[in-house]
Amino acid sequence: MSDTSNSDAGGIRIVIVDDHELVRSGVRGALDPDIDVVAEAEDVDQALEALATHRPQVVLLDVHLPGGNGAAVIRGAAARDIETTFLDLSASDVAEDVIEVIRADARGYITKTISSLDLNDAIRRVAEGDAVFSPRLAGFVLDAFAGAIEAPDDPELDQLTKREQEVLRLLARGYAYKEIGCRLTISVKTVETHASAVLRKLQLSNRHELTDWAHRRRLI
Amino acid sequence: VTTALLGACREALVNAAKHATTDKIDLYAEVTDDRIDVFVRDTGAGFDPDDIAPGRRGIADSIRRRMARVGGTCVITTEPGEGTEVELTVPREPEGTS
Repeated sequence: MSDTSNSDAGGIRIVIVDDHELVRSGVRGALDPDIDVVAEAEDVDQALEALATHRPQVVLLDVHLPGGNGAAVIRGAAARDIETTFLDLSASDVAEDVIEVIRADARGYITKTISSLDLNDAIRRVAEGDAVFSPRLAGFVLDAFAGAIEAPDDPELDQLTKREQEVLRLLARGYAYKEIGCRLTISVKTVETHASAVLRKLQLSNRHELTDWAHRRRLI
Repeated sequence: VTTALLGACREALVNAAKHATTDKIDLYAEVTDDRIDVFVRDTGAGFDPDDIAPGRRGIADSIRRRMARVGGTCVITTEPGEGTEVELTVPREPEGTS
């Protein structure tokens, strides 16, 4: 099915950022032929250099890096006006890591236990501008937005719609986007739209909901 | 109630680990004021609910009994090739007993 000529038209150019050589080569080996690794980096400075030089479409970014962390790369890229999409690939699944990077503007979060199939799918998804949620992240978001507040500052940003909650719940339970679509009788595209909307809320909502939640979990 | 729920979860997880031909089992729990929901899901072989070997039927019944004893429920959704999901629900008192 994939274009064997690996032309720019079909290929997705990515940079892998992880301080473990083994992880980088493992990821490289798991990628489909139409995903092109244009560079690799093992710390924050190298990452920023690679991004500036190669301008990839997607950056597979580890949360924990020497010289800073995943969020530092994202912020550094923004400061240098480098446009790209960040997909966090992490060994860590703890709340603070996840939330920190997502709020620094990553488009998705996946853990290293992910299958090759899902990894390629996730890269394609964020390359198209859609959000990717690991089941754990979906759970955190539900938790963070749970409990209605009396008078939200911005109901649109501070609360999840019923549908968004449903989608997150199924994501947290381990369902894939396609399965969620079947279950809720909506298209995969619609599922992606809901996921992206939730991501936007998570990133933009620095209101009471998320702040309280982060406090309760001693994240900030 | 918690003991029953934990026991049922453990049974569901062990069962999934033993019979589902997959590396991954998902567990998701939701605690609200009046209930606790736990979902144990695998994307493994699944099975035909009408065609269970005597050994496996024992597990499903055992989980149901545990739940029933504390006023909870167990719903098992499965299909050959589609994996299995065990949904456990127990009621809870808003304050006090857990």
